[in-house]
Parts: sequence; C-alpha cells; structure tokens
Amino acid sequence: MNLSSKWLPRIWISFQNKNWLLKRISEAILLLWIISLVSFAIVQVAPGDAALSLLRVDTVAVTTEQVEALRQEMGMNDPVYQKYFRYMGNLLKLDLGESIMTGRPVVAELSHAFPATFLLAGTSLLLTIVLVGIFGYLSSRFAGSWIDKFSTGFCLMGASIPTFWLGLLLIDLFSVRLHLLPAVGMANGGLILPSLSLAIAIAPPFIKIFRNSLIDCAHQDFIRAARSRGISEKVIFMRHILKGSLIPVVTILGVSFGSLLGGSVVVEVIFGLPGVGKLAIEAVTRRDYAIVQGFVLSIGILIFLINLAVDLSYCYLNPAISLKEAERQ
Amino acid sequence: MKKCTYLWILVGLFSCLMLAAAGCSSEKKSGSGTKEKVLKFITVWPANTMDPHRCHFSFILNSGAMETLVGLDPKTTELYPWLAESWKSEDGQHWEFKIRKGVKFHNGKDLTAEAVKASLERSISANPGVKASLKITAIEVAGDILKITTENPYPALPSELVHYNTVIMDVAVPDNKPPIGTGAFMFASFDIAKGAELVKFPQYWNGIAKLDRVIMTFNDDANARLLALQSGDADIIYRPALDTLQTLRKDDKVIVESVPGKRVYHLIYNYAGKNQDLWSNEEFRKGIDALINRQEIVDKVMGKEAVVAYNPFPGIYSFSPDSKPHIYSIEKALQHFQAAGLTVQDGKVLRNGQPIKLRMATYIARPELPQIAQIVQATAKQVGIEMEIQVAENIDEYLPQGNWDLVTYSLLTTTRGDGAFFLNAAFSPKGMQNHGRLTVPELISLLDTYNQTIDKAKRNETAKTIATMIEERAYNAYITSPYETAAYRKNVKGWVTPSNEFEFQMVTKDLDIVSE
Repeated sequence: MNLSSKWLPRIWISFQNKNWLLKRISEAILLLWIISLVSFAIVQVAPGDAALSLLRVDTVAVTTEQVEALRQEMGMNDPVYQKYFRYMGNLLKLDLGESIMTGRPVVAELSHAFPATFLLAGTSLLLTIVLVGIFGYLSSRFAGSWIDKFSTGFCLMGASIPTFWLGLLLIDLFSVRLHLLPAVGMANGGLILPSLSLAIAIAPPFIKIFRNSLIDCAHQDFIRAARSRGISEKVIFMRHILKGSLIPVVTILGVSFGSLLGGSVVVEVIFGLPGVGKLAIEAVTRRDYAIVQGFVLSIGILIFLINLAVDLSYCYLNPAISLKEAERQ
Repeated sequence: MKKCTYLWILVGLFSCLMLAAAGCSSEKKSGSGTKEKVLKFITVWPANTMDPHRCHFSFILNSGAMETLVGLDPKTTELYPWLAESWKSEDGQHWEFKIRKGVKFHNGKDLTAEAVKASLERSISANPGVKASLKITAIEVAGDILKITTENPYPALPSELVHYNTVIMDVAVPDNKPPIGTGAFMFASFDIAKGAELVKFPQYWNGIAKLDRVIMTFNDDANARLLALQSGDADIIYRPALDTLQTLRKDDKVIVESVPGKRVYHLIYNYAGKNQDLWSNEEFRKGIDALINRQEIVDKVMGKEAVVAYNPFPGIYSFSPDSKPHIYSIEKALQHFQAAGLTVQDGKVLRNGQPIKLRMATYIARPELPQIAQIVQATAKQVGIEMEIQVAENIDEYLPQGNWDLVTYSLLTTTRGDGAFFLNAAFSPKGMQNHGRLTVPELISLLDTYNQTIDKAKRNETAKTIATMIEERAYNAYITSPYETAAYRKNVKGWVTPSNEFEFQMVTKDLDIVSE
C-alpha cells in the first residue's frame, strides 16, 4: 500500500479531529499572548526616546520642558500597566497603532516591507534546498571520497564566513569586476547575490544533516528488503531513502525560514533591499516602537504558522508519524 | 540514473537562479532610446515616509523635487530667496514674505500665498519639531504676501524656514501619493523602501533641468555605496567611508570632493556633576584644553579629513571667532592646573593629595568619538588624571543621569546659515543640548540679546562675541570639524558637495551627465 499517496486526506483528518484542533488553537492563543507580552516588554526596556526624535533635537533648538510636554502628550510617562492595557486593548481590536515617525498605520508599513523579505527569504530557501540537495546527495553517494571532502570544506567555509563579508565579496566579484549583476536594489537580477549570500551561510548544517540522514536511511532493513524484492534503485531512492531523509532537514529548514524572515537584516542593508529587517532596524534607531512591536508580533505569528506547516508536512513525509498520532487520539 | 540525477540537479539550480533574477525585476527601462540622460545617485538615509513634513531624513529635500521659502547657498551658506522672493520685518515678530510669482506645482497648479499658508500650517500641525522651530502663532494672506506672526521677536525665522520639513507642497495630494512640489524634478515613482525615480519638470520656474531622469536610492552601508559606485550602479555617492577615500582618489574615473562640514566634535563638561567644582574653575578647564592634541586627532582619527576646531564655529563665517591656535602642551596644562589651586607633584596633578578621577562618556554612533576619548584619556594619564571611559548605548538617555564628568559629543553648529540652533540648544539653561547644565548669567544675557537682534550684521557680531567667550573661557572644548565628502564619476557635471545633508538640494537642475 502506498501510504504517502493519502497524505492530503490524512491532513484533513487531523483538522477534523476536535482534540487536535482545540489543542492547536489553545497553543496558538497562548503563543500569541506570549509573543505580545515579549514585544511589549522589548519596547519597555529598549533605550531611547521617541519624543527626542519627533522634536528633531539634532536640528531644532528645543528645551527640556518642550520634550517633557511631548512625552506627557504621547503617554510615555504613564505607568507600565496602563501602557500594557492600552496596548492589549488595541491589539484585541487588531489595531497595531501608528508609526510615530510617519503617522501611517503599522500594518501598512509592515505590509509594504514584507514582500521584499518574503522574496529574499523564499529565494534564499530555494537556493539553500538546491545546495543541500547537490552537496548532500553527492557527499553521501561518494562518502569518504574527494567529493565528500570538498563538500565538508564548502560547509566549513560557508559556516565560517560572516554573511556581510560574503555579500561584499560577491558584489566585488559579480558587480564591480564582472559587471554581471547589480550591487544594490532588486531590479535586474538584484536578488541573486543576496539570496546566494544567505544560502551559502545557512546551507552547511543542512548539508551535513542531509548527507548523514541519506547514509543512515540507505542502510535500514526496509531498504535492503526493497532491494531484495527487486525494486529499482531509482524507486528506492526517490520513494524511500529521499523521503525518509527529509524529515530532519524539513524541520530545521522550517525553523530557518522563520529566522530568515527576521534575520536577514545585514543582507538587506548591504544590498539595499527594502525588507522588514531593515524597517525594524530603522524603527529601533528612531525609537518608533509601534513598528518594533508590530515587527516582533508578526514575525512570531509567522514562525508559529511555519512550525504548523512543518508539522503537517510530516504527514506527507512520514506516514508513520500521523498514524501514531491517530492511534494516540 | 546517475546522468539523470545530475541533470535534475542542474535544472533545479538554474531554475532557482532564474526565479531569483526574474521574480523581482520592477525597474522600468528607458523607452526613449539612448539619448536620455539618467543619473543614479545613492545617498545615506531613506525617506521613512513620503510625507515631506514628517520625513525624518532630508531625502525629499535632497531629491530636488521640493523647495522651501528660503534657501541656503551651499557655497556661501548665506540665505537666499527661493519660493519667497523677499522678506522683511520691522520688529522681528511680524514678518512679510512675498511669494514668488510664476511658480507652478508639478500638477500644474500655481503657487500662491494661500497654498504656502496651507503647506506651512500642515507642517506645523504634523510635526512638533517644526512647531517648536518656527514658533508661529498666526499666518495670514494678503495678495501675494504671506504675513507671519511669531510668539515673540524671532529674527531666526527666515533661517528656520530652510528646514527640510518646511518644504512647500500641494496639501491636496493624498497621503499615499508622492508629494507634489515645485522643484526642477518631480516624482515619477517613489517607494520609501527602495528610493525614488525623478523626471525633469518641464515647467520649472528657474530653468529646465539638464538631466532627464534621476534614480535616487539610499544605503546606509558605506561599503555598499562604494561598491555601487565602482560597479557603475551609481554615478554619485554621498559620504563614502573615511577609510576608502585614499582608494577612491586613486581611481581615475572618480572624483572625490571634500568640503568643510558644519558638524563639530567637542567635549562637553558636566557643571552639575560630582566634580562640578573642577569644571567651574576656568584654569582647570584651560588645563584640560591644553591636554587635547587636536592635530593628532585630525591626522590619526579623522584621517586628515577634518579641520582643527577651537570654537563652535570654525571656518570663515561672519560669526566665527578670530581664533588663535590652542597649543597642545603638557607643561602649559600643568601651569593651568597649578593656577586652578591643584597640587602638581612630579608632573602629576593632585587634589587634596589624591589623584583626580574623571568619567568620560562617549558613544559609537560616530565611531571617531570613542577614539578621540582614548587620545584624551592617554594624554590626561600623563599628568596623573585618570579618565574612565564609559561607552553609552544611547548617549541622550545616559547624559541626563548625570553620572559623568565629560563627554565626547557631536553636533551641527552653523545650522541653516545661522548659529541660533546651536547657541540656544547648547547654552540656554533649559536647552536640550545643554547636557552639562552650564548656566552663566553673562552668556544668557548675551544670548537674549542675540535672540532679539534683527539686524544681520549686529546679530552675527553678537554670535561671534558669544562664541569667543565660549572659546576663551573654555566652557567646552571644541576639537575638530569633519569634512563632508561625496564621490562621483568624472562624467558627472554640476555636482556641488553640500556641507551637510539637512539643508540643501543635492539633485539640482544644473546636474548633468556627459559621455565618458
């Protein structure tokens, strides 16, 4: 029986299971509350003063009294609990507030910046998968050979080079010397270099995991049994070895996508990409805390959704997991 | 099977690269052929909003799309009539600005005094900084005259109208659209996250721009800006990193231009801290001043991309004091310390038989400041004064705590062609930049006189007197003024490197690009 062909119905069954759904929803509510608490706390302990930024104290002669009056007006001097209730009240109304600096809704600011980050994270992830696939497969296939050693060297190098430096090296080579790709911006293939920088930085651990996982899986009893039954090597590899080896990779890739969304700040800065990481850094610099809160909250929610998707992907990759889950229910 | 696998891998890799390349291309290509003159300019900071009255950075003013009532000449730093043809005031409180005729907004509307009034009122209501800066209580219109009344006599008003948040816009334009101004260029597209594409405005009142189009972007990473210039992705970059200037100057396709800036790095003393008795002693302050090796700081820390400063207004402004060089001398410093009533024993300074310990704050937002702190610390150690360096994460939050003795600081001093911002912010008793809480009645009295003086020559003379007093009495120690630098390709013509980013258009009608 081909279990994997029924993965969609299995996901649907999971959704229909009330306990599973209730558990997931309560987990989500708890997580959202924790994330909201964290984002509120970060802003409270962060140094800085939005009133100073708003009053342009670097270019406008203002007095300490004027600064204090603006702080009062903005509610910055209110007790923490009052600020928290105000924040939670707005959050329950799905109102993340307005950016202090621009006067625009935080949702609008974030939704403007997210597409670039999604694009960067998505292409980086795709490139990572390709690198993991190539190096992982080749180094497992030729374990112990020079190819394996080359792959290990690549992993060591990729993990050791700081992303910003790699980015600058790539710009120097492909933009300054070869004039093949733009040094800044997203137009005309501008996403290739930043994606490559990120992919080279995050791929090494997955390559090692995928390689070891492929080797382990290839020596399992059921693989030997399949071979003895005369199933072709291609089918064994594609249906059993590859799929069985993907679970650890998918788990960590899922987590990595989350960190890619919030953690590609350096690359966004170097390549001048207009993503949320850059927006958040600028917001921190300018003490635009509504944006910082919105950023933390949205990244938290995204990571939760990604983890959920990773869990569901197990139903496809390893039917045994969902069957055990079903038995437990 | 092996061949097939390799093929799939190659196809996968190629697909990913193609996806990355194709999935994001949004820049419009020129449709008009080869003769279109397009210039690519990368500045440092973005426009964090399309609203020119709220924008935290000066991107929109720099873009050449917007203009203010009063302009500042980048070469002379003198005020000049821009959208206001002239202005006058008898008492410094009631002002009349004559609005220039024949000026059109980018949407074809005429610039009128009513439109200027609406724009200024919007700016004041949207931006508390502008409200504090302009101090306007009423605006009225009489024909092409804009009548402005300020809270009290305010001779600095024309200078304050240079501020990048006071640009004149058509207020009828929705918030989510690029602003409509009166400049030589207008926004063809504007994305605060990416940058702006500007096209020349054919009805510009002061002559049509030489360029057809300008792509203006930003990047706060100096290395990335440099690489963009070298790769041809930029024709002009503003403020390349100090350590790259030597390399850039060797590039025969690039011109590096440095001009004296308006920022001064200095030491502020804490007159309200636990060592206020020391700082209140003029001889002690002069002793510390003699310990500052300004030339070494300029040479080693600033890479010679700065000038030595002895007062807040270094240079040849009409309000700059006539300074004599401050001699760096340990011997002279010891003489001052002795005159201050301190004991000097074996070349070391003692107070009540004990070495003096001071806490010097600094911050890394300007990387040269901690290095300056280290040089001052090393010299002070030679005379037995221990300076503990405290690097503050947020200096403006750290200083009000008061637990410091001196701080390395950076501020624009000759702002908008006038010393009013610096003198009021840094020396009035409640000034936000008076971090050391210095209160000198004589200085305050002079500042009051300055703030009420309308005649420009007298006003400059008073500013000069104040700055001279600050220097002679060593109230703070002014050390160096860094250059402002831009680098551009040799085929760029008409570029003027401004002395700061806040007060000038960078994209101008005179900018041009010729064949290399």
